[in-house]
Amino acid sequence: MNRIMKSFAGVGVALLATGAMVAATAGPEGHSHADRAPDKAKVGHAAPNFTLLDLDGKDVVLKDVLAMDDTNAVVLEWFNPECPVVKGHYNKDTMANVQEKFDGKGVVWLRINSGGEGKQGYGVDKNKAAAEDWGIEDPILMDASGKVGKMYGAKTTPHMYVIDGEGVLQYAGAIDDNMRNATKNYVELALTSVLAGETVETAETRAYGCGVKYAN
Amino acid sequence: MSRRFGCGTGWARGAVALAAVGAPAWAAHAQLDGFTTEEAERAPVSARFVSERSALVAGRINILGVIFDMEPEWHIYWPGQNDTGMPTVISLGLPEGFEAKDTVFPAPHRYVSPGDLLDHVYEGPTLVIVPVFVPTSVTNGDVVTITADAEWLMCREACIPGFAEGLEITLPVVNSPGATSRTEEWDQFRETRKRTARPVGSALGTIETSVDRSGNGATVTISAERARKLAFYPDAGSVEVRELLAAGEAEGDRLSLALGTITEERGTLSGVLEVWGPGDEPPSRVYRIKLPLSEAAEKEGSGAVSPDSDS
Repeated sequence: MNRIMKSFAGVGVALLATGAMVAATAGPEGHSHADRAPDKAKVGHAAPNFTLLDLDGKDVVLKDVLAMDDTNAVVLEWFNPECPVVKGHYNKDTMANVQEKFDGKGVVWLRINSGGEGKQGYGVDKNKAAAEDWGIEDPILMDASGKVGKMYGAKTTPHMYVIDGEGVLQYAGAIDDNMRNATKNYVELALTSVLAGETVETAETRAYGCGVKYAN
Repeated sequence: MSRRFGCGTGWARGAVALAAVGAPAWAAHAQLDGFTTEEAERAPVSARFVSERSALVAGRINILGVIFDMEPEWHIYWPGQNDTGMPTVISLGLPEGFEAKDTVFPAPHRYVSPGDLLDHVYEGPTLVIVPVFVPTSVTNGDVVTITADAEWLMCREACIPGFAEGLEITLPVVNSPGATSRTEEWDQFRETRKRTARPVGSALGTIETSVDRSGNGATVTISAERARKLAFYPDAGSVEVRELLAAGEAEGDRLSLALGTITEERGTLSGVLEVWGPGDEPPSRVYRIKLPLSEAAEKEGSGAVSPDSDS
């Protein structure tokens, strides 16, 4: 039920063509969205860049994803296939429903597993199996050292971040307002605003779920 | 007697009409799906529905409770501000005219996981107090069944969902407390009350708060005379406390809490203050802090230290 990342095939090509990239951009002081990202993710500021491997061992670089013409927004979803809260959401298609709503609108969805080696939900095989069971076709990125998770302040699975096409973090927090009876899906609301070029009304909420199983 | 797990429903039991309070149990089951009844039954945490006394007294609030029994090293979550987890939720099935009062959760303790994740949890046998008003429309000699459903997330390192549907308690009704006796669980109720937050006024003036404002935020200092250690556990609806991991617990007699943005929606610093005194007995006391900070909250509140009557 998840979207195929059609535009994603382009990343490999982009990497080959341009070689390694990325330095923090030093934009004009204080005001431009092109400013160097803070070390820790902050809503309203440039989202910190990262490079992680997906389940097939391929590099995924956030900046490259953002640089692609047809990327209008990037969603980061902290993921643990064995967390019951994550399972609950996948059993009722919470994420798929949002992805479907924005099909064809240039929303790239990246799942990140920051669980340490040996912790619940760790391992390429487990994550591949979950991707198979739950019809996830987007990249699942392994962050066993927890470095990227800590950079984003990810505490739970799920923990959601919405980055606009210019690379500014516009939402961080829970996927919705209530696991049982959600009245608002914050990711859907944020994406709607971001794609319309409008301010995100609820830019930060407290995430819920299992704790991210950091190594340390 | 009471079925503790599974997706079947115990609603049909009991001779009296039931009015659900809170979220219906069957909806709750969808929350933490993906686990079979068998897996749930192997769970290290189980729940049972108990009463402080042997009968219900008509015309007054009666004290019931849910006891969570836990295997060592497992914990469940206090429904306040946590970095992770899911709140423990109890909902009741009550006969007509009965009324559930606010559930009373005892003070939790802080629990830090790798990655500096701070939660407030319970370990070991934990009693959550559930007060129920029993109307005078039931009379001496009636027998009443009350049901409860509980839902929680239990974790050691990994987490598994917990649910108990159709917990039941059946009690006779009497007209006066003198006609009741203590149950086996009465001692646990008494011990638990030592961990339920009392109004800060009951500290007889030894606890003070002061507010230092700047911009949209503030720093609140809480001090307690002769304390050797303090800790503060913010409620879910409280103004956010920044750096709670570092600032929420301190040796000595004061806490300095830098707050997040104060808004009309989150306009009060509210939560539980735990004070460890100079001696060992009792090891600590817990108080309810309710400090209005926004304009609207201050209009309702009476000032810096607000005694809370509904502990």
